[in-house]
Amino acid sequence: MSITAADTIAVLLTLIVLSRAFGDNPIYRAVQSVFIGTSLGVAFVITWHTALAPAARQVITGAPDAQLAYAIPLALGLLLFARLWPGTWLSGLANLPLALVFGVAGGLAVSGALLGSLVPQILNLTGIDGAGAPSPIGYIGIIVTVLVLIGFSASVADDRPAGSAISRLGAVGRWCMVVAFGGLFAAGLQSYSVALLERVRLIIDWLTRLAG
Amino acid sequence: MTRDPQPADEPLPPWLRDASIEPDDDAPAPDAAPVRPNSATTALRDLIARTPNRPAAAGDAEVPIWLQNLLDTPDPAEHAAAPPPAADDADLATTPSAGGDQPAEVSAAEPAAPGTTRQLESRSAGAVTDLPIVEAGPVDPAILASIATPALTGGRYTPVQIQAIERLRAITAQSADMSETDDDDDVPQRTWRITIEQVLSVLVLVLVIAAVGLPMLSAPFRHTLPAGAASSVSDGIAALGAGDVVLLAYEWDARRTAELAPIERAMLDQLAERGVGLVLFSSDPQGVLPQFAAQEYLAASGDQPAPNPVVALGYRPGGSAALALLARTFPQLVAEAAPDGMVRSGSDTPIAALGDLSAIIVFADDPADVQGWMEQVYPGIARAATPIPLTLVVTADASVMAAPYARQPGVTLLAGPLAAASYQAARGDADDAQPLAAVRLVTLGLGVVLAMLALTASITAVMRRRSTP
Repeated sequence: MSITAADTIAVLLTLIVLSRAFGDNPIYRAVQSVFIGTSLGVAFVITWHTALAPAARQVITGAPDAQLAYAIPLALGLLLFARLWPGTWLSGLANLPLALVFGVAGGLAVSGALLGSLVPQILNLTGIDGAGAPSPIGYIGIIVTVLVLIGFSASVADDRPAGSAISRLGAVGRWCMVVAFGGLFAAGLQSYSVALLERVRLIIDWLTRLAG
Repeated sequence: MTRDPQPADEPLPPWLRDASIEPDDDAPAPDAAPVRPNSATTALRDLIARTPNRPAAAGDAEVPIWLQNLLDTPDPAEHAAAPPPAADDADLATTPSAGGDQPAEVSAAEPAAPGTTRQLESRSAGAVTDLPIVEAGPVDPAILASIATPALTGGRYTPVQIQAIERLRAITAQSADMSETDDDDDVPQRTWRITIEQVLSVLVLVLVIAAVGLPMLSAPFRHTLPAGAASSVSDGIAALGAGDVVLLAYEWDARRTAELAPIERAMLDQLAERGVGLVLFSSDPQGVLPQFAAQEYLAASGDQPAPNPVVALGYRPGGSAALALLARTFPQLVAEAAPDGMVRSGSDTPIAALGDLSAIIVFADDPADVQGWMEQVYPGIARAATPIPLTLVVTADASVMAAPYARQPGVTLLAGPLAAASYQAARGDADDAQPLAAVRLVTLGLGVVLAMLALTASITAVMRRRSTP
């Protein structure tokens, strides 16, 4: 199997990124900038070709109903440019599309979290939905969730018995969070181990092919 | 650097240059107490007064202008002995600009003459603001030497003058030392310090290379892969046929290729073998790249028994809003992407709803992506007459947050390299456990390195605490 220029460039870039282990250096920074710029450039091109350009095409050459359907979002988007004149009455026009964006996003997030995450998981953990038998782990999960929520209570009077008890429960909740973060970190360690192994395997394969 | 009050081209007059002064008999001895505070102006007055061939008047032509100005200023001692100012000027005489809290020398240089105080204030402020702004820089050693050895040779000086000269020499010598120290700091350090992090990084790199290059090292970490969820997903895909359509969601970017590409390619192979119709979708702009790669991969494997139709919906912006739109308007989106109606359900009719799909497989590297699919899309397909199986294929770091969703009916979670190896093993691929064993070995090595770092940091902290009194 022959060595392509793309393989060689990939190996060189990988070696430069791995050189960061020996300290920061200008070549690493240059490659980092190349990666960030490439990622942003790809995102822009994809957004233009799959979202912006088709919409603009529909507004210009589409059917009347399509023109109307795309013209309204276009007009709302153009209203965002009113923020270029702060302190004037024009600036207030940008509140209309912003309110629409935040309102829709907030509505989707709240309804989705309640109907798609919180309620189904509680029903499933407790076995109320009938999909499975209630398990002790499910109830433990609910208790831990409550403890973590208590851990975020910042205005508790410690000098009272009830406040002191809530503070202790909150401390337990914070320790549960520490354990959870430890689990997340361990899972991330496994993910990045896979990525590192794949890169090193790429270099070894390239060297093997280079040696013939 | 400051400007010399005496211009360089205006030398001392001959009568002052050749001055040879006997010690001042009237001057008090150094140990005689108390000594009246003396000023440079006073010292210069004394020097000129005891000069044998001095000019008769200060306005003499041989007297330089800078010296005339100096001699025109009143003596601070005389100023102190003068009667207090008039009541009208008492408040002005004590203002800071009039020299109320300034040294005697400065106060003497600006006498607070009655009636001219405000003019002096403005002149004083102007003198400060008109000063040239000169950036500090390295001091020329030649200038320092000339300052350290003033041209007052051959004369005798009062104790105050000698004291002032000694102090000036000490200041210039100290300044010269600091200048040399600064020069030393500018020299870059060429010593190479090897930190514990660099040593451990090299150790990890050696471990990774050994795990990849020497399979016998990771042999003890080879275990029998669990069948579990991967096997059930594989069986589910094997049950599909040419009339089925599967939605593949690409919510991962190229950085996670190492973790997700193996299981994705294994699934694509199996779906292509079964001739299943595919709809590709992404709500992440970076997910379009693996989507294109999948299309190329499927096109390259055109020798499958039943070529399957593929419709790419591409990237849909909006995150959760895009997913909600997909759940509501899926048939319209497919119709726009495939106007010829090539995607059809099992009854050979165009897809009319999301429920007409045979399965949904979501490849995700972020818990938020999983959450979006479970909150916006899953409730709709769970209410369908025939529930659609939803498979979440996630990276190991996203698996912790995605695990609770796997308890929902019809949801299967495949997480990390273990799931990929299990799926490939379920399909009968050979030697799939070796990469997983290498991952285990490297993960263990990274854990040991982190433990060593934590131990080193703890020991350092304890030693520092003990050394602190």
